[in-house]
Amino acid sequence: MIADSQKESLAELNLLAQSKRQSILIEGPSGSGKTYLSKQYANMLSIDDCSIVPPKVSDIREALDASLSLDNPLMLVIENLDLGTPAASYTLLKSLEEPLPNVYIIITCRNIQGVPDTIISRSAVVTLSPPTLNDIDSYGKEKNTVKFNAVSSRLAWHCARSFSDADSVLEMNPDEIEYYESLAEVCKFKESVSTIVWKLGHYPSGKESNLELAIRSVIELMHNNFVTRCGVDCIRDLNRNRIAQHAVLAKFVFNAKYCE
Amino acid sequence: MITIQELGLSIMSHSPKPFYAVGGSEYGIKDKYIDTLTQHYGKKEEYPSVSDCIDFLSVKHLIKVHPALYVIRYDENFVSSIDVETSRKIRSLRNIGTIFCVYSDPKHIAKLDKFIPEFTCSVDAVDFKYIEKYLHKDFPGLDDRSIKIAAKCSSNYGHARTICKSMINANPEILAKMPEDSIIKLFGCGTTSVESDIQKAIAGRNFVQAVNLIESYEGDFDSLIYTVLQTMIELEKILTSKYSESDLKDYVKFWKIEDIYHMFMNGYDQLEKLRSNTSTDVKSSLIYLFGLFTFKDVPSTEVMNSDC
Repeated sequence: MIADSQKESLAELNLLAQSKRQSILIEGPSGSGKTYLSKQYANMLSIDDCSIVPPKVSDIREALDASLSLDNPLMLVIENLDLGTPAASYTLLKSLEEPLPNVYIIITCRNIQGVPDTIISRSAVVTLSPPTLNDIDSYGKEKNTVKFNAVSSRLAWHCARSFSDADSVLEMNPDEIEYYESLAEVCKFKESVSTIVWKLGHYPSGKESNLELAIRSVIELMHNNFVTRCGVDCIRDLNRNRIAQHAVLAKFVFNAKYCE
Repeated sequence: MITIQELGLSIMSHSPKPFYAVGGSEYGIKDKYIDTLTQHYGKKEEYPSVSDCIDFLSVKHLIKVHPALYVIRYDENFVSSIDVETSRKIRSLRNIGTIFCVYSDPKHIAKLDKFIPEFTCSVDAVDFKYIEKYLHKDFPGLDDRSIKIAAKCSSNYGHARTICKSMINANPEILAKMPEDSIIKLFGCGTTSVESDIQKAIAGRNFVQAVNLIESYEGDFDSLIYTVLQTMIELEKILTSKYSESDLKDYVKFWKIEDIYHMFMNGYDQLEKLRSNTSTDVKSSLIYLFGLFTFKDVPSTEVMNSDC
């Protein structure tokens, strides 16, 4: 299924496929369908061999080395390059400059500012918008109508802002769906920061929760401009992945607890 | 280059060569060999340079010069001037005793090894069991526990020997009663600080102690910024729930909730700066954070980041 937010990017990829462009950088927020679009690009070029590669020097090098011994058309999707080290980006440079005739490299990133200019200048950049709420509803309905009907009125679904969030909610059990509403108790901030941080990061069963959904649930439940601002900063810092998750969450809780 | 075993064997078996150039960091072994050679010849003389010593030994003396040990320390001129002719002269030395040249710079030994490899040796780290063996031999009056402590204190035989010399002069009863850790600390060994010490210094708002502790900290400084954040979270927990059990309970009296909040935010701010600006030094960031303890009220990030 192609969402409205993806149509424009897909049209751009279509044009690039006509010229058989070998290096493309797809920029878009988390869960907006970057990897999905990469696979669509492989379909456009009739490439069956599509490998997803994490942004690590060793993995990229291994994938590039393996491509040398192959003759068939091959697509390497380097996921979230902005989360990798600069060395990971530089590993790709040579292959972007002088690509092998059968190798297509698609790079995805959440934040283009985290990608070196040398990579951007050697790639065709396609920007993907975040999905609209309608896109997410349509996606959920098509993926699992029964489950969608059961969760569409719940807080967890209302807080979903990406296709991966939607996938996550559709896979939750009733207790996990309930958990996001139960965060109202946490929002009273009677407990210590460390306890609240733990509760935001875990379901009562001890399994790790979807942090972004948990933060958005707190924002929804509190209806407070300051907490909303802190929550947005928290999600941004979580996505940047520069500072340890527990520290990012603790900052949010400290602010929400003591600054109002 | 000859090995340390070959060097030791020739000296200990009382069949020393006429010349040795010995380098490496293990000064204790060099001293030990000098002592053994002194005992062997019954006479030791210190010369300022190898050329002076060779000149003295090359001329004919009316009164016969008995073989002796000639010690020359750190003669760099000899290293820079050594050539085929000098090495030939050294090889032709007979019945003069032994010239023992001491060096520490590995470059000097590398140069000498090119011209006189059969006389050159580098004495570096010695195996733990050999240190113990040597110490037992050197200090027969010292008990096994003290020898083991000395060997544990240092991987350097010379250093361990100095420690043994001190222990043999100490009151054996007092020494026997002292715990091993205390003796090790007494000799300035094993004093690298650990994260829990630093956490206590942070919780105690002790700037001087915290700075001193990071000087002897060998771990990752980056993780210490997280230690600051973790300490604030822990202190907040103690303040919020009075029944919480923590090693930091005694330190909570130094903190108000506002100070904990601002300290956490300043720590987070420093982490963000470290992540976005590669020229920021982690150690400086830590000292900056520790400096905030000295304020009666910990300043906010807004105050600390303002221009005026």
